[in-house]
Amino acid sequence: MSEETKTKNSHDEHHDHSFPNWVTFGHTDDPVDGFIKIFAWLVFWTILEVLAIVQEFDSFALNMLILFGIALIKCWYICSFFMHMTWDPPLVYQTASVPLFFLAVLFLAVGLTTPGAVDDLATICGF
Amino acid sequence: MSDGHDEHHAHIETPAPFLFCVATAIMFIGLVMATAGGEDKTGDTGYWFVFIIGLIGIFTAFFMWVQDYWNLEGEEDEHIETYHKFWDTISTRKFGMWIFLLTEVMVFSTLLSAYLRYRASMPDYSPDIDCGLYFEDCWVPAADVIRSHLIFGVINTFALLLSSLTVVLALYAAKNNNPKAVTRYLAVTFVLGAMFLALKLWEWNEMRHYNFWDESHNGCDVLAGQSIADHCIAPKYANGFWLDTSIEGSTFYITTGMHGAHVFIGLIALGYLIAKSNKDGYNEENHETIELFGLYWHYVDLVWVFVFPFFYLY
Amino acid sequence: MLRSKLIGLGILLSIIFAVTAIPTGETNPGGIDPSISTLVEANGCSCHNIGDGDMNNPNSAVILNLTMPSNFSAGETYTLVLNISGGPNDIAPMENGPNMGGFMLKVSTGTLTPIDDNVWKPEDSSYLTHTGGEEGQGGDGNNLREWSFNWTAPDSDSLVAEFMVYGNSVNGNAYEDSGGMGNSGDYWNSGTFLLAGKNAQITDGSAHGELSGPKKVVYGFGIVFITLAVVVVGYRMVDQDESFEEVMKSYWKWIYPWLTTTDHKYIGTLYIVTGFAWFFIGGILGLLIRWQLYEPRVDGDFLTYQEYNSTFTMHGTTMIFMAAMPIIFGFANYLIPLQIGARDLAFPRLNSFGYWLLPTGGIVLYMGYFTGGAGDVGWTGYAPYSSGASATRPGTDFWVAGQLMLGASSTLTAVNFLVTMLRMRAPGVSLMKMPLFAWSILVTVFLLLLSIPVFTVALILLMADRTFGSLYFSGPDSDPILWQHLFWYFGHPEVYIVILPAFGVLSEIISTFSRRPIFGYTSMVYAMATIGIISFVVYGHHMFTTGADPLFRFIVMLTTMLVAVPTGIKIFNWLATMTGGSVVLNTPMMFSLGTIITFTIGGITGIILASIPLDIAFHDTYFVVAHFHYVLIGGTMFSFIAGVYYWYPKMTGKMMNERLGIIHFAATFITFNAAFYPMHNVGISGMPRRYATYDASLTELNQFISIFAILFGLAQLIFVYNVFYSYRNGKEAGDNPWNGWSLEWATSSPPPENSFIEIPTLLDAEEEAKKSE
Repeated sequence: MSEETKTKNSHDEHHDHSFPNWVTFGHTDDPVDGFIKIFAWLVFWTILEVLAIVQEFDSFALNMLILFGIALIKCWYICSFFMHMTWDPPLVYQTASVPLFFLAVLFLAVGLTTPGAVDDLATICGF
Repeated sequence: MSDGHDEHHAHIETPAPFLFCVATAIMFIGLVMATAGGEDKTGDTGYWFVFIIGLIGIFTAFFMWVQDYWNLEGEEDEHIETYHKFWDTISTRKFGMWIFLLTEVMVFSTLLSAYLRYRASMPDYSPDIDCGLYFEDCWVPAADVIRSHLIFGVINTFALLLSSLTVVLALYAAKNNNPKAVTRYLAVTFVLGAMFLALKLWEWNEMRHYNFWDESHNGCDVLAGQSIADHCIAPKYANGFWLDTSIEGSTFYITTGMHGAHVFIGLIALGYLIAKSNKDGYNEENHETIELFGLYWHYVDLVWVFVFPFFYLY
Repeated sequence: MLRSKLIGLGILLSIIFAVTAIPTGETNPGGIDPSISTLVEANGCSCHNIGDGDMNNPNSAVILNLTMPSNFSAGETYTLVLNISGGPNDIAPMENGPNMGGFMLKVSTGTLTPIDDNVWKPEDSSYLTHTGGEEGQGGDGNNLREWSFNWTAPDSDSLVAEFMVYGNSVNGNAYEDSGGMGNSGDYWNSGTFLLAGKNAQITDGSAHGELSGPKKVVYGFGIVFITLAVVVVGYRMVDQDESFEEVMKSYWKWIYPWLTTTDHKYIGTLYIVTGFAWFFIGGILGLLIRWQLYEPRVDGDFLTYQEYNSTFTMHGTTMIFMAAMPIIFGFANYLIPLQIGARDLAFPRLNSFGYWLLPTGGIVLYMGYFTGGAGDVGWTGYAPYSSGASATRPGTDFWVAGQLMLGASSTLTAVNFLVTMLRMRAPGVSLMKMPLFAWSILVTVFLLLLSIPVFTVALILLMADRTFGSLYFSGPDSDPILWQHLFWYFGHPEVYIVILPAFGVLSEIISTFSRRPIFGYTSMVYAMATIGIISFVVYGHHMFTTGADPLFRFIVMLTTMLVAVPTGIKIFNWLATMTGGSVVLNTPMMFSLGTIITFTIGGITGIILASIPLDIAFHDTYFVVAHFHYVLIGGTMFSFIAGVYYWYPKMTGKMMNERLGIIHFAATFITFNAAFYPMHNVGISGMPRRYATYDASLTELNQFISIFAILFGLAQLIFVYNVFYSYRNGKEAGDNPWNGWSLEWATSSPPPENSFIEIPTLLDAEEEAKKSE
């Protein structure tokens, strides 16, 4: 109907939705199968982080590393595949990375400036 | 691009935005007066009626707004030309949705920064720290209140992840010209989202009323505050865990509440999609709206990916 | 030639006269003369105060406190305690002691009785005062700061008893020299305390049943409007023999398109008109502030102190959110599609939604005036005052709710503009060929996009605290500085949001009226982008006195000073543009030049404030008020008035009257500088901002400021008249009265329904200029 969506569709048909082989345990041509495997990975990582926390490790740094790391990994899965960023033109991920600098200011300035905050700004920079 | 386009470029006239805003104002006036008005300034309950009228007005205006799209084949009613490479590589509305998601990123980052600030300013509870008689000098996180009933949070996480998958499957069903499957997948998404909200509200209620741990307190001396690992809860939460109990409560409920509100708004939009899919069907030619909704929905899931570990697990 | 020399000389003499007329700051010993009879009531405790400028005036350093029950029962006796603190007897050591202070107290109803030797009631009088002042009197009342006495309530408990207290705080240097009568350097103050009976009600200073000021205004306008409407409709019905339905239908046919339009030109017009209307409302609030500050006043003299708090709060919030931002969006809405060659914005319905949130949000914002007091928390809404019980309720809640709506409006509009400007530019309009006004809007909406959501969340947290009892700001362990961080993370980019479009307008006007493209276009673009990004880091300079992390403050100070560099680049580029061009000095150009001067002054005081040691001294004084009014009025407002004069022909097809324009400029420029420049002096002398009164020594300067502020307000009426007059009687403008070369001048004035029938292609500026020769 509208030319714009038509154009977009033909754009889709030109690239096949190829998932990285390691994600899908081998090549797959069926995008549905690929996405189901992505979901399986997400479930796996979720179970992993719950199990890790239930262990109640003593080290604060280790806990943070696990939680934050797994969150970033799940974020990568959702963004790249569910949100289609892997197959999207560069405009999309460039748009999505715009807030990163501003987030850093927000987290550092609002989050870490109470005196003696876990890693307050002054300590980090050796003041 | 010549004169045939003139009638396509006539400007739309619609009263829906105006009515939506008037209704929103009425809703806010009702809400504020109902919670802070009256002689004693604690609320004039008669104004809840005004609040409801405002809400009804908002829904009516919303329906009027989507009326324009309801009868179109796709939701794209205007051909927008573009003349510049790089910026034209995705559709206008998709670009608009991504820009909108940037604002949502700032919203949740603000909530998380405030949480980080408060959490970092106090040591976490641990038996070897002096936390004060009522544990006011330590952070006793919501995670410890939830720990014994963590399974519900995990179920919610899976529900949301699965709903993201079903939205993607709905989109691909449309691309593969299977409109009935589209409606089914969207309906499953709705059910999963509604289940998420219901379970969350139930969890909240349990936490609020101190129901989340063993009645006999597992042999704990609550006042002495034994190790949290034994599922004893500090006297801080002896009367339940709610947003006016402590800052831990405020940050927990407001952050998860904002997330829940976003799920709720998503469900409303999803309702429209299901109705439209049922009526006209989405197919290879028209499925952009599902994609746009999907971006929003995946973002909501993404926020949960960060909220879950830092509020439910840690 | 001679004529213009004479005019120049006249202007120069006026400036010299104005500068020399600025008062030196000595107080005028006229003093206060209330019309009541007793000695103390006529002159305060000034008999203790001979030979010093402070003789007849109360001093706000002296704090009076009367401890009393929360209400009284008829006929009961209560023991009340009067306490005086502050003033010179707080400064150790007393020069001669131990005289501390004294008081006089009277009450409007009920009976006063002393209960010890320190207080006595002179014969045949009904007031109490301290002992120790008279020969042969016992007691030590002179050497105290606290006195107790009894008060017996009247027989009716639906009365309100008003206690009038005069108290003084001495420095003890006069005991020997003046026969016990006191000497220079003592302070005194007076105060009123209200005690309601069990069945009485204290209403905000007004008698029971009387309407509050804002209610009177609104009802008054309502009555006038309804009367006019009846007269107009009735006249039409009679004169043109139409039925009531027919008249209403024709009005409806006129108004319905305005309610339902999604055309960027109409929405732009709506934004501009709405913005200017709220600008006048905010201006009236500003004049109320200046009238309150005409001279030192006690609570309730003109405004009560709490009403004053509401006044400056609503003044700030209105000016920023209801005036400046809508005017910016208005011009952006109207011009951006024209300048980039697009037919409309990307999402027209969303555009309409963004507009209508504005008047409706404004109504919600002002609802406080009908419910006992508008929000009184300052436009910055600092916690824990804003989250606590002392802030007006529900006025503050309305203030929060209104701003939530306005924030949503700005966010959605920002999304709309970003998508439009990045995707819908005509062929040839590459990003680096866009007019500078378009660039300024692009950077502005980028800032809006990222900063407004932070403020929205902060407001939601505040609302949660106030409504649901959460503890973000209001609990014992809460951190009020969190609010400051969240507010200023938004608040600082916000002020760049209101100034960057002004820069854009300046670039347009200066280049057109210098008959050449802007000097250094590329550096102008990069300067704006740099300002935009740095603005997110510098917000901490509003928090230098909070005891924030030293590293944070250090980084902020450096970056704040750094942001002056790109701003300076822009100013020098404008100057370079004019130097290399042939300048036309008409009204838009004069306002632009005025902007450069006043904005530069404001910018310099900004650099002064960027330095932490200086800021610690100037924070919360009138120096800051002067700074931001110089950049906001001198920067934003002047530019947009210039913008109105510049684009009015395009929007309406008529030219504005040039002579009235120049008169408007002269009056505005002179009165603005006269009103706001002395605020620097007053601030350096220590006058705090947001206080409803001030030290009496600054009275003359404040009177000067207030008078010129009123004249500044009156000068704007010239502008209003010009706008309306020219709409009817202005000269036809034609497509391009100024010979500009950006795309908006390529279409008719006003532009047709469909702004562009065919999307044009942008030519080079020089080619365009050649075409019009």
